[in-house]
Amino acid sequence: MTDSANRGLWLVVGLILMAMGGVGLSFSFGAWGEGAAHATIITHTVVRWWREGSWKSFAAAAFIGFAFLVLGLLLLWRELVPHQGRARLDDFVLPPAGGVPSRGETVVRAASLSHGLEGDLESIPGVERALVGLFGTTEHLAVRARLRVLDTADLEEVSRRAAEAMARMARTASLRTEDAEVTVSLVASGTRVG
Amino acid sequence: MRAFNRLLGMAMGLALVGAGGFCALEVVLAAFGHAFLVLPASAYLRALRTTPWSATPTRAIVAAVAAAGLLLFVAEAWPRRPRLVRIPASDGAGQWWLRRTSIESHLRRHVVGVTPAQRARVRLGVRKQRWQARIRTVAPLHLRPEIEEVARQGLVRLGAPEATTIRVRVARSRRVA
Repeated sequence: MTDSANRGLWLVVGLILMAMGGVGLSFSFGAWGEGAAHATIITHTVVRWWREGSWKSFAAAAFIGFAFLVLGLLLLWRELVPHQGRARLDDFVLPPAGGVPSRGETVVRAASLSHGLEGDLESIPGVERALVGLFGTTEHLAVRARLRVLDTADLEEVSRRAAEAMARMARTASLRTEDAEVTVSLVASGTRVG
Repeated sequence: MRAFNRLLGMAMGLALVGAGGFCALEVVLAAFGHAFLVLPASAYLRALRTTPWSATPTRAIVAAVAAAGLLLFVAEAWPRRPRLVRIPASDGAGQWWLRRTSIESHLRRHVVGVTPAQRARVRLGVRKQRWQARIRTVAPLHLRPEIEEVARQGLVRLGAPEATTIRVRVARSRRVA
């Protein structure tokens, strides 16, 4: 789950807790009348509804428990799934050149593409290290890259050469790059990365 | 806060799975006439049927719930500095982001390396695409304009917008440069 989604979730949870606590306090201090303040938390009316409901009461309670279970599993999955649930690019078969069917087929390993792009990016002057993730499909490819760049490098030049490298990869493997996001960390020019 | 939110999310997910699973299981078993298995639910239900809202333990619990909600809300709503800062990039290069902490470290190195300032602390904030750098440094007072100019050049070179605000606070050094 993204940071902003997590933040939104906890803002809502905070609001709900505040509302529950506020209503509970107003109840207990008699803002809803002295009768409400001295009423028990589970009233006789609730007990009567439960008994009159018979199997429907059990079904409703079991459903609420099950809904909590599903909600918990969903939340766990959203928190634990890597790359915000995006699927990595699979190995794929290159379409025949000019649409003419051929006897063989060319399989492209997705890992070799990302390693190739990493090498291409690392050959740009000033780029010390590149890590590339390719996501989606060949028609809708998303590139996520993390670069460690020397703080003496010209970032405009680095981004221009990176655009050329991505275009080369897309052309070589007949891919359509839908979106690319590059995160840069500046490192001191004296630092070497192993 | 980012890691804390994620841990909190996992903890809440686990709690919901546990509570929901047990609740569903216990209710289904109770419907078929079995006693509660794990939770002492009979005791809890009896307590809830005899405890009034005005009882001190009830007030303490609801006050704690409200306080926890308020704390959570304030912690999440408190403005945070972004982890990544957007910078301009060439056509076809996609969106480019710089790690804020790496900009701060770079600027600190730049100021200390280029000016006679002895040490510097940099805090970078971004609001409505305007960069705001606060630099605290130890240097002779008259060097403030020079430090500001050096910092501005350093940030512009990284792609900071023209309307970047730089505030330099100089603590006078004992040694005269």
